[in-house]
Amino acid sequence: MSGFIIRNIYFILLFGITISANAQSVVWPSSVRIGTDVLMAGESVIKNGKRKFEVTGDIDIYKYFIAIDYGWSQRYISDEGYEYQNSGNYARIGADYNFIYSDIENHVIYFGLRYARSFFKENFDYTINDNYYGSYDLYEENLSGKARWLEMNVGLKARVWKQLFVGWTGRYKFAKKASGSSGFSVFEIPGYGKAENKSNWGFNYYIYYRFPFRDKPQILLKPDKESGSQQ
Amino acid sequence: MIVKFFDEDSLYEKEVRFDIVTAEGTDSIFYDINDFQSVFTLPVHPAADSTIFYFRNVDETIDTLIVNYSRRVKLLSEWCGFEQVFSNLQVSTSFPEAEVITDQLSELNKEDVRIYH
Repeated sequence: MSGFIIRNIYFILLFGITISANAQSVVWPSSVRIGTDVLMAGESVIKNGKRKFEVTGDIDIYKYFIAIDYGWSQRYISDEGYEYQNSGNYARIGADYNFIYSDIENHVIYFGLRYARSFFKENFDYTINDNYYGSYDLYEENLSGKARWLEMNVGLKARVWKQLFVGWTGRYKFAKKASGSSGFSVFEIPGYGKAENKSNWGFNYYIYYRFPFRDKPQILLKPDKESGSQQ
Repeated sequence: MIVKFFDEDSLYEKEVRFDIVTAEGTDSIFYDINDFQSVFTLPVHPAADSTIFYFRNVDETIDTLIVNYSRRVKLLSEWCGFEQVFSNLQVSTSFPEAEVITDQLSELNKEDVRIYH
């Protein structure tokens, strides 16, 4: 009995929510799914000046998923008269609702919300050629750039072979707040995109592997109040 | 930066003439004795946080306009390059009075600083 209560407390502390199939039950996760964005990996290989990497993970709780993403990026842009460098990382945490939670193949079609944070640094080397005052090589940097934003996500994850899944996520990123130095306007926020936009769209294409704990989410019924026994 | 002169008594826009208009940090002469006008377009120093403009009068006395500002550089896009933004303008002057009309310099502005002469 005490073990059951402690497990419940751990569960609530860990996930912040208790998902109930009905008012008298608690659902235990059945799997963890880990993935990475293959488009970013491809873009990093093909495009000069872009290095991006993102891992994503989710854990199922009945109709819902707890989702966590972590990403890292480097950006380099240069043209006549300037060089820009950005490097940083970001993380998102949130929850998804699976519209096909009873699917026996564990396919997923979902809508989710995310809270995201990014920490980054930027530097900007530039040359001013002024007709009156002459030429100057100048330098600005954001060494402790920070940003946070919210996302609405839709997507799917389709099982293609055994525990291998592929899927995409469309993201609407909004409610962004960013801070940097006074001398340089933040240009790019890792994970968010162009900083001056009040909202941005994003798209990820992931490949996942699912690690099942059990075949189905386990529903544990709460103990009967009168008998004190677990059903 | 667009500086517009006004008569300190009537407060009407006023055409003025200077022997030389220049600034610290440059050998350029922006205006000379041949220019008789009320509006002067003066470039601020792109690598300093202030610019001192010198207005040498015909009687060889010199008036100054000191402009302090914040500089910020903004990368527009990987194709469009960057721009400098000058904002938080503050002025002090040896002319009877000067005031800031627009806080941030822009090519679209028609008047940034007003000087009463």
